[in-house]
Amino acid sequence: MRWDVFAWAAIALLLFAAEAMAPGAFMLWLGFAAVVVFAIVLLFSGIPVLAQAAIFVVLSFVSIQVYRRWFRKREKPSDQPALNRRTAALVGRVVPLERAIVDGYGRVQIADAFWEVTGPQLPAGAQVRVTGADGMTLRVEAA
Amino acid sequence: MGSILALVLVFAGIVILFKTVRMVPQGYEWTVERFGKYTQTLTPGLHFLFPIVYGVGRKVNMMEQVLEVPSQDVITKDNAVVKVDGIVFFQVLDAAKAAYEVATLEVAILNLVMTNIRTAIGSMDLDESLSKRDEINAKVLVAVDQATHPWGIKVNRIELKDIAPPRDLVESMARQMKAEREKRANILEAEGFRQAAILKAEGEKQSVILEAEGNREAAFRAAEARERQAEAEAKATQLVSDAISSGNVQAINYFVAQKYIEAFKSLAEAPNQKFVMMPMESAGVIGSLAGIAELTKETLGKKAGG
Repeated sequence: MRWDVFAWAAIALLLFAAEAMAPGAFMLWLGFAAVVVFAIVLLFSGIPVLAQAAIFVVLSFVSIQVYRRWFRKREKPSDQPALNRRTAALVGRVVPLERAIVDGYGRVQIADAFWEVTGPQLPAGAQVRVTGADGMTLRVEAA
Repeated sequence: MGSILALVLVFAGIVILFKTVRMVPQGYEWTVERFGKYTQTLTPGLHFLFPIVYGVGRKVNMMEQVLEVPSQDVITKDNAVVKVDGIVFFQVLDAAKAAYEVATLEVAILNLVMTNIRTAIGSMDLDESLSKRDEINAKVLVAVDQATHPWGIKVNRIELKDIAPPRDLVESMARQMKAEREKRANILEAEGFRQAAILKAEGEKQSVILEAEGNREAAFRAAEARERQAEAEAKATQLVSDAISSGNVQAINYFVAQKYIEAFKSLAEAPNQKFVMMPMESAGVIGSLAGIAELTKETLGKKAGG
């Protein structure tokens, strides 16, 4: 039994354990790289330690790139895509204009907050639908 | 030698990997800087940054946050000093602006809110500022919201927690309220008395009027009775006079004599009357008796003669 085989096996297990303790979705890929190095070291004896380390580092980057290219496409989309994105969450809401849209700008009140809106000329009180946002300003159209 | 180098290599590789693979947690957005200059914002999830060239700049909290506005002394329009504190709810909508457009976001927001509260309350009387809290909230909210737009944040709500006038002012306000109530009570009481007095006087008036009316009616009737009596007497006199004119004057003496005898009879019948005073003119009455005799004689004589 050679010490480097054990070392790589131990490193791989430690990395998996670390991923399980603090999921960050990339210790796992380092772990896979360590597993591959472990296999190489097991099959081919006599590889210098420096070369082993280099293989590990390169494989780590490769495995993460593989994850990035391959697996991210299959990621499940969030069922709350507007989480923490207040303006996106407001799209589709129909609200009355609190202040008339003059020269392209008016104001609405949604919940307690006042939002500046941009859209066609409309009098105060007219119902408008939020269609999107430019930064802090909501785009609206007559509803 | 080789193993030390290998360790260094593995260590450097892991460090670089950590710098390359960045996981942004939900609720945060991280800004990315390329040699210190902002390039993009990372949304929640796993990201890969080209090592060394790109680095994470600021980690911005995108969740709605609460700031306590510390208590401050504010002078109202009518020069009362009140202590005001509050809370602000805000949320970062644009991580890059919040990270780079303002140095200390929270301090900036707090100062804006505090000055705007001072402005809003300073334009109101004490009574107004105590009763129109919603108005102040809305006023401050609109002003602060607009002022913070360049920082990429949305101020959702500003709430004044407490508006506390000084202690002596509170006491005098309580006294004023008490006096006001007492005044109302006194007025109500006085009004009650007045009403009662009026009702009583009205009752008395009514009773006096009724009584007077009764008297009037009675007087009318009495007068009527007297009239009727007079009429009857006149008629009786007329009848007597007629009788006399058609008969003899001596006839009247008959009535007088009859009445006199009747009166005399009742006088004589009275139980305690032992002593009878004769009227002075009794001689006259006796004379009338003589007249009666004469009348009788005449009548009888006429009859005999006829």
